[in-house]
Amino acid sequence: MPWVDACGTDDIDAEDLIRFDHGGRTYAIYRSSDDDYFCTDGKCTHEDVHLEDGLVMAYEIECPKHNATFDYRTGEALRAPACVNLNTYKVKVEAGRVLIEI
Amino acid sequence: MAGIVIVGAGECGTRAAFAARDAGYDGAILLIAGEAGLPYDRTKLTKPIVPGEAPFGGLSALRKPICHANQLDAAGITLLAGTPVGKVNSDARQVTLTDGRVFGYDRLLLAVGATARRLACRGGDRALGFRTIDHAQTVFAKARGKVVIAGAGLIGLELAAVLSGQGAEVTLVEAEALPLSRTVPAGLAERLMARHQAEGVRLLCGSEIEKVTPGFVTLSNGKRLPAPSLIAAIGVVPNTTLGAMAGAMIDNGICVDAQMRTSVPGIYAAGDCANVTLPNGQRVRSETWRCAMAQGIVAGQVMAGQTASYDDPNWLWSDQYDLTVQVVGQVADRPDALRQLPEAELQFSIDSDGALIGVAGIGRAAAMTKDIILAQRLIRAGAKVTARALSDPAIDLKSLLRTQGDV
Ligand SMILES: Cc1cc2nc3c(=O)[nH]c(=O)nc-3n(C[C@H](O)[C@H](O)[C@H](O)COP(=O)(O)OP(=O)(O)OC[C@H]3O[C@@H](n4cnc5c(N)ncnc54)[C@H](O)[C@@H]3O)c2cc1C
Ligand code: FES
Repeated sequence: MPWVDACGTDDIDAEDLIRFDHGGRTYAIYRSSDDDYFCTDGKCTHEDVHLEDGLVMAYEIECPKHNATFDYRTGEALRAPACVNLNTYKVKVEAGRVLIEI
Repeated sequence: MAGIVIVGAGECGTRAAFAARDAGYDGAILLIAGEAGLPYDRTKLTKPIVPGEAPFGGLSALRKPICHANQLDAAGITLLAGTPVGKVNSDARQVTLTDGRVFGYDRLLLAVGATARRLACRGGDRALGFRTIDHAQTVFAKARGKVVIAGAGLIGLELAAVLSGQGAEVTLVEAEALPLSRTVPAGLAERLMARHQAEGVRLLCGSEIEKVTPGFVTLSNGKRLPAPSLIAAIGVVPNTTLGAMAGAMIDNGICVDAQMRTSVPGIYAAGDCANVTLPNGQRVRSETWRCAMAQGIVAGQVMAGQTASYDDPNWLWSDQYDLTVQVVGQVADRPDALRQLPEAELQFSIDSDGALIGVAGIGRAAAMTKDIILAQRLIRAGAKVTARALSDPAIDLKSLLRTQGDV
């Protein structure tokens, strides 16, 4: 799978996320408070709601709609109403750019 | 077969079943649903319709299952749908369905929800109720042209938005001076009201329906309105019959502690049917989705032998047109702090000790949810806040949470 240049490392605040759309699909890219980067599917597995307006705290993303939480490092669904995990994608940082393998 | 028996497969009962299994319970779990089919999300029945998906005739879009059959199978949960439980015998630890089938239980959860309140006035039984998918089917098939809705609470308002969006001419009759007056601050209620009026919904506040005759309603001020379709959305009554039969204490719901235990050993209750005493002694009977889910999860965990306790602040949301309303905790009519965001407004309530106790928001969902989630965490943490910090949109609420230490 190809590596895609998604954004600059500074385009995401620490402990936050941005939305990234590519090839007709949508993703969420996270920056943790210790400046690690992660990528998951953009939409919650409960309903068709984007996680971009959700809240990132530590390694968790809380869905803005019904507050399901996921570990964005592994995609694991941590709290109801979601019970299906998020897909995750590999991420690497090169020369100030965040690349994701999709 | 004993094991855990759950009566009622709404949000609460269904979540409880999965939570018990997730908590490691390895006995039988039987989920008995009075309504036919898979458990479905009741809140979807009145939510804004995706363009192109009209509720009229497109009812399958309204039926959003809470879980699918393969998820129930995978969790080893037996769903028995379509026949209600008619009796509970707490001495024999048995429930009996209305068709005579008997099931034993080790632990029983009553997650039987609530029933739409009937209009008490003369002829009031002509009004349609709105609680179940069957009700939705009836209402969406009939309610065209002129529609009168009794009650401008959450359901009445959402229904008014959906029906007027479908071309119906909606009149809302509300006894109080403002819609949703028991749940949202006056300032937000006024904004909601203005929005409904702008969409062509007529709101008659401060009036009550005194009499219903075929095709008409008569109001307390003597006015007569044509009402070929009449819907009662005047609140709900908790279902307590089975709880009472089991010998559980009843007081505006089935009384339970924060572990969802009733006064009868082995019997639990949660969700809209339960009146919960929180760890701080406060009593709440919630009527919201979020609370039903959270209480169901606690009940499931406790029945599975885990330690769990319910202490969530009340949490309600409603979608009307493209507006979302969210309320967490206790809000007063006069807010202590206002936070203006580009597309949303938040109102905060602070108690005399300086602790945040409630937030209410109105606006575009995406604009406010992050702050609502943070406020909910601040409320849970009993965080001390200042009106100045809350009112300044440049101050990230996350930073307030940080200063509270470990939450
Ligand atoms: C149209 C509508 C819109 C709503 N929108 C919102 C919203 O936007 N936000 C929000 O927070 N809340 C909303 N609510 C409220 C929310 O849906 C309820 O708080 C929640 O569904 C309560 O869940 P529950 O499982 O406790 O009860 P219920 O959902 O009432 O489920 C109880 C189930 O038990 C079954 N039952 C009862 N007696 C028996 C018996 N003897 N045997 C077997 N089964 C039995 C019932 O048939 C029912 O299916 C809405 C409610 C309605 C009706
Ligand atoms: S859409 Fe994410 S929790 Fe419901």
